[in-house]
Amino acid sequence: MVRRTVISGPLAVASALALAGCGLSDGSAPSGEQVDTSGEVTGTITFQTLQLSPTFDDYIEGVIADFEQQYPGTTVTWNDIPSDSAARKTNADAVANSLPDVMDLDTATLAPLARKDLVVDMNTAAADVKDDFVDTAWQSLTFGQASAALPWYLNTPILMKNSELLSEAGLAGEPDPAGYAELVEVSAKIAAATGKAGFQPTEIGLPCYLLSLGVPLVNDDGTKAVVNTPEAVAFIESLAELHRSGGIPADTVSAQQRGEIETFQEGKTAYLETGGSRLKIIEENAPAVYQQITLGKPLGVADEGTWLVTHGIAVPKASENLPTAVAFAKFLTSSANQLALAKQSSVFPSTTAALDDAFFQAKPTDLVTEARSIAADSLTDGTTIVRPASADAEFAAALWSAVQPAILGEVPAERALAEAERKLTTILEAR
Amino acid sequence: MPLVFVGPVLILQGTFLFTPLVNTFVLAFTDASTVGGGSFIGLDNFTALANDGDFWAAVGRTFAYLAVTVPVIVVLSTSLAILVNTSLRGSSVVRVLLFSPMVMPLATIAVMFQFVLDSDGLINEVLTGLQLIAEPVPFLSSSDLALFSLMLVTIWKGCALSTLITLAALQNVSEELDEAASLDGAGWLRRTWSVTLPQIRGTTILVGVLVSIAVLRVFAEPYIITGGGPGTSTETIVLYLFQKGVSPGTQAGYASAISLVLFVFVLAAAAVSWSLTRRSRT
Repeated sequence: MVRRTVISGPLAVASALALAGCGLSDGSAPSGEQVDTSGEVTGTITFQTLQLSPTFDDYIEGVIADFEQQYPGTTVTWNDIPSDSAARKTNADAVANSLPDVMDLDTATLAPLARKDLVVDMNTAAADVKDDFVDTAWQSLTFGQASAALPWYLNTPILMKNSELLSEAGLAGEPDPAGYAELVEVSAKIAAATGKAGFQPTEIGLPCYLLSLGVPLVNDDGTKAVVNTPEAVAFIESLAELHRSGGIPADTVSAQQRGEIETFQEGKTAYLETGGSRLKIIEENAPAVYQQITLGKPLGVADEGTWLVTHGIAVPKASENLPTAVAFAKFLTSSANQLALAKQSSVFPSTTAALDDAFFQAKPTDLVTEARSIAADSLTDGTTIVRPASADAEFAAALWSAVQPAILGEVPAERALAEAERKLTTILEAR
Repeated sequence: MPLVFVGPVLILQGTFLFTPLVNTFVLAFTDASTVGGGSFIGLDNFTALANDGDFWAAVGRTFAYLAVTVPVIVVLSTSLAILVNTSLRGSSVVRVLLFSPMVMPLATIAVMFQFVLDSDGLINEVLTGLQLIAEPVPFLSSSDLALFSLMLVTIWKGCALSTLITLAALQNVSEELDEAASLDGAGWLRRTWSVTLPQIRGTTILVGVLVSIAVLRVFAEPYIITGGGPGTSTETIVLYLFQKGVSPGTQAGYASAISLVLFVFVLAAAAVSWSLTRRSRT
């Protein structure tokens, strides 16, 4: 018994120390250091995308073949993963120091890598192509001073309207609401006339609504939340009033709310501000509602604040083949390659040259082409705004959670927003 | 020789069970994020946790959950087990119905209850149809009601396994004692209360402790049905941990500290079980 104790003691300590090392392993390039991305473009790299296979197999394989042909001696190994597992896999890969050389990431998944300075700063690595991109797209991938990824494909919303519901509310032929404040007013009228809701506010949407209304969300250096402003208070109070009158769906504030697309395709809401790609989903799920859809400009246009969703191409600093990885990232996001992708999908390119293509200015023939034209206009006329990088998914979740009791009328809007500001500042300070 | 049989299992356990456990312990003393890194910060995470009002509010909610669901599940499952164990007409049907929650994944149950409890869900439709209510009851969208609605789901799910365990114990109850009590003139209720229940006391305690441990770790119900809302009214300890460390938060060190505190709570529940089991044996 004594001998067993003698052996197991040091063994446990040794194991703990070994595991301690494991727990603290970093595996990244030293923080804040610039990495050298110049050198010969050759060798093998891995490239990871988010749920593009099998729909875009031909496109991706074609781009890879072109790259390998342009740079003899290179091999790109492509790997596609489901979008919903992107954050978990990326986090695990970062800890294990096995991030792919080139990654397609949304801003929420990119944010922790950028904050920890684990990815190449494209301001320096891709300075030669920086001016090719839409400025707001570039800015939306900028964390602090560094640009964490090259913008790839974009999306920006359009306004979908249920024309039958609007007719029922006596609003047929009326101009679209100009901005979110007017949307709230119109929703109250719709509720009074039809008993149906005007729109469904969402966790992801709320920071965008506030930003469009002139609420900065965070201070200049992203260290403090700024959400308790008169505009925000007025907007949340109006949502609370709408909740009482039925202008927004009753279950809006159960945090795991039914998706706003579901309530729209069930004919329970009159307006849905969303990406044009959702048209296809609605057509498949609710053909009757699809027939009633008419389109309008995004609400943020009125306040020059239409939101933008950007997917970026990032290269980890720890990549063992930085020159080839950066070269492939630039090749993939070139105007020609982006335009080719946009022509076979419902996303938008992030370079100004590609957006200028006649494809986006063509006369609309159906809802899909009309949606494309409306969204392309807001991308090129400078009405898209950059959501501060620190106002990410965690920020949106905490903000939404804090204002829910105010929308329910359980606490005053000002108190809820003050509480939100306190919580959000704590989150920002902990980063 | 025994090592040949136990060795592979020990290696597997060590790799997949104890390594993450020790890793969590180490991370709790660092400022690591979920993407790696982190340096030793001593007890800072625990100090922050002690002053974290949101965490203690989540602890309070979890213990309120515990205080309501555990007694209800224990009483309900014991009653159901006695009912099923009694040779009554139709008890076989009850048996099948009773165990159906056991074969359903928790995620399915949660989604099902979401549709049942929504403002335009089944219960509200029925109540409105019967003209018992004028306005839908906000089961999930009221800060006062949401936690109780989730408790209902946990009770519905939790009763099945607890009933099964209690039923197994009832099969071992001495029939002789029951017959003797019957000959002495004791009725069914008296026999159940004074003869049957004391004989399954150990199992009842075990069920209570198992349910307590499960409820301390409750996650799927608030995560899937309410996401912790409205506000933070249904945010439990594990949900708070998840939000801080997994998604969308990136505070792996802080989340590990929360999980260690939760570990202490669960350990305390297990200690109570051990102590009560020992006492019931003596």
